[in-house]
Amino acid sequence: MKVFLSGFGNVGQGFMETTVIKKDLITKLVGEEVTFAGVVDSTTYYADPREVCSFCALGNKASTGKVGHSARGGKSVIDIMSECEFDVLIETGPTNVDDGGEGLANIRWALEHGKDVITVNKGPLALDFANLRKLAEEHGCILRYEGSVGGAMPIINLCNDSLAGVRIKSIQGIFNGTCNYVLSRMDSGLPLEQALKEAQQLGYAETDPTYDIEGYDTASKVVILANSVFGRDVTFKDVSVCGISSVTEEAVAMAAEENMVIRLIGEVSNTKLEVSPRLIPKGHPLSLSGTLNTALIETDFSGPITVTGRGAGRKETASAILSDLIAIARQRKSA
Amino acid sequence: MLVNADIYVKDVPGQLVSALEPMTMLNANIIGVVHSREQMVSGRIAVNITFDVDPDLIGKLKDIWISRDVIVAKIGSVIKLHYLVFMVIGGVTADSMQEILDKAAEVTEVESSDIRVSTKSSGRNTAMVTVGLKSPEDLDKFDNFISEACKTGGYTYIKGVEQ
Repeated sequence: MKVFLSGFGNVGQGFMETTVIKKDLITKLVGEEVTFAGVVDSTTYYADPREVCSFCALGNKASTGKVGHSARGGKSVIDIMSECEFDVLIETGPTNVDDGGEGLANIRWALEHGKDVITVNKGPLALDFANLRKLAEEHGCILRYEGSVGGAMPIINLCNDSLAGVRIKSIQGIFNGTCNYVLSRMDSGLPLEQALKEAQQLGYAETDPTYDIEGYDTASKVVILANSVFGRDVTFKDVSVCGISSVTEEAVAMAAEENMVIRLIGEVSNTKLEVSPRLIPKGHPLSLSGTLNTALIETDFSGPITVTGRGAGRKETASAILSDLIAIARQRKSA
Repeated sequence: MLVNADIYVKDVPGQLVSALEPMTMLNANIIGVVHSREQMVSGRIAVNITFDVDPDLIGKLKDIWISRDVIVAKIGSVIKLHYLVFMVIGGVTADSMQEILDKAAEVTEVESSDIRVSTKSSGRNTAMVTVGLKSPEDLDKFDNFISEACKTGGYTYIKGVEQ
C-alpha cells in the first residue's frame, strides 16, 4: 500500500516514525508493506516512484527543518500528488477554518482521483463535510478522520462502529487539552494569563493560542461529531462558541466554594451545537484535569459511556491515523 | 403527592411503628423518616416523615393518627423543584442579576433563587446563581432566556451540566 503524506510537522513525522517502529505489525495488519510515495512540507517535497526513505526524510527534517531536497517553488501539493502513484492520501496539514486552505483542495483532488483519504486536518471537515462524504461515495473512496477529534481518544469510530446498535442522544466533552490545562491550573489559583504562559512553555499551547482559547478548535470538533455521528449537515458557522478568555480567578474560586470546577465543554446532539465554559461538579467525568480529552456519550440502551485519552501529540495522533489505515486495508480486502 | 409531616409520638416502645402502620394500610410509599429523640416535648418524640400518598387519603391518615394518640404538628405537600446553577461574569451587579431573574420569572415558574455576587475584579464581577424551577419543561426555556439576556448585557454565561 502506497501512501502520500501531506504535511510533515509533529503529526506527519510522528506517523512516519510509527511506520518505522511498527513496520512488521503494520505489514501483518494491513496485509502488505506500507510505503511512502511522497511527502510534502511547507517549502519542500520528497517523492520517489519506488519508495521514500523514511530514515532520510526524518533525518533531513531533524537536521535542516525540511523534508526533501526538492524545493516546492510554486508547486502545490496537488501538483506533486499528480506526479505520484499512491493509494491513500494522509492529510496532516495546518487547520484552516476560514476556507479550508490547501488541505481541502488536497482532499477533494484525492477523492476525485479515486484515492482513499485519512485526515487529521479539521478545517476541510468543519467546512465541507457533507460534500466530501458525497465525493467519497461517488468515487468509491473511503474517507476516515478518527484523529481529527480527540487525538488518540477513540470517539468517531467508537460511536459509528462499536455503538452502531444504540441511539446516541448527546455527546459532551473536553476536546481541547490547552484550555483544560489552563483551567486546571487556574483551579490552583493561577490567573489565566500565567496559566497560559505556563502552557506555552510546556508546549501545550501555541504561540498564538487564540484558536484554542477562544473555543474555535473545540467548535471544529463539535461540527465533525455533529456531521459524522448525528448525520447533521452543519458547518463551523452554526456553532455557538464562547471560549475561556473571560473566565477569572474569582469565578474559578466561587465555583470551588460550591465544589465545582469550570471546564470548556463541547456539546452536540440533534438540536445542540455549543462550545462554552461550564460549571462541573467535582468528581463528574467532565471535571477532568490536565491535558487529557474526555467525552461523555449519552445513549438510549447503554446509558452514559465515558471515554478518556490523550487528545494530541506526535505518537498519539499517529496511532489514530494508523487505526484508520488498517481499517481501510481491511475494508478493501473484504470488498 | 409528595407529603411531609411533623408528628409527635409518645416515648413508649411500639409507638413509632403504630404511627407508621396506617401509612402502609393506605398504600403510602414512605420516602424518609427522621426520628429525633433530642426533640422531646411533654414526653413525646418528634418524627418527621416524607411520603408519597394519594391526596384524597390524607384526611383519613390524619384521623387514624389522632385516634392512635399521635399529635400532627404540621402536614403539607412537598413541591419537587428542579435546580439550575449558573454563573455570570462581566459588569453584572446583584441588582442587575435580580432584574434578569425577575424577567425570567415572567416566562418561567421560578420558585426560588439565590444570588451571590463577588466584586473583586473591577468591571468583571462574578454572580453565582441557583434557581429552583417548578417544572422540568422550564429548564430549557429558562436557560435560553438567561443566555439571551447575557448576550444582550455583554456577560459571559457559564451554565452547569445536567446530572
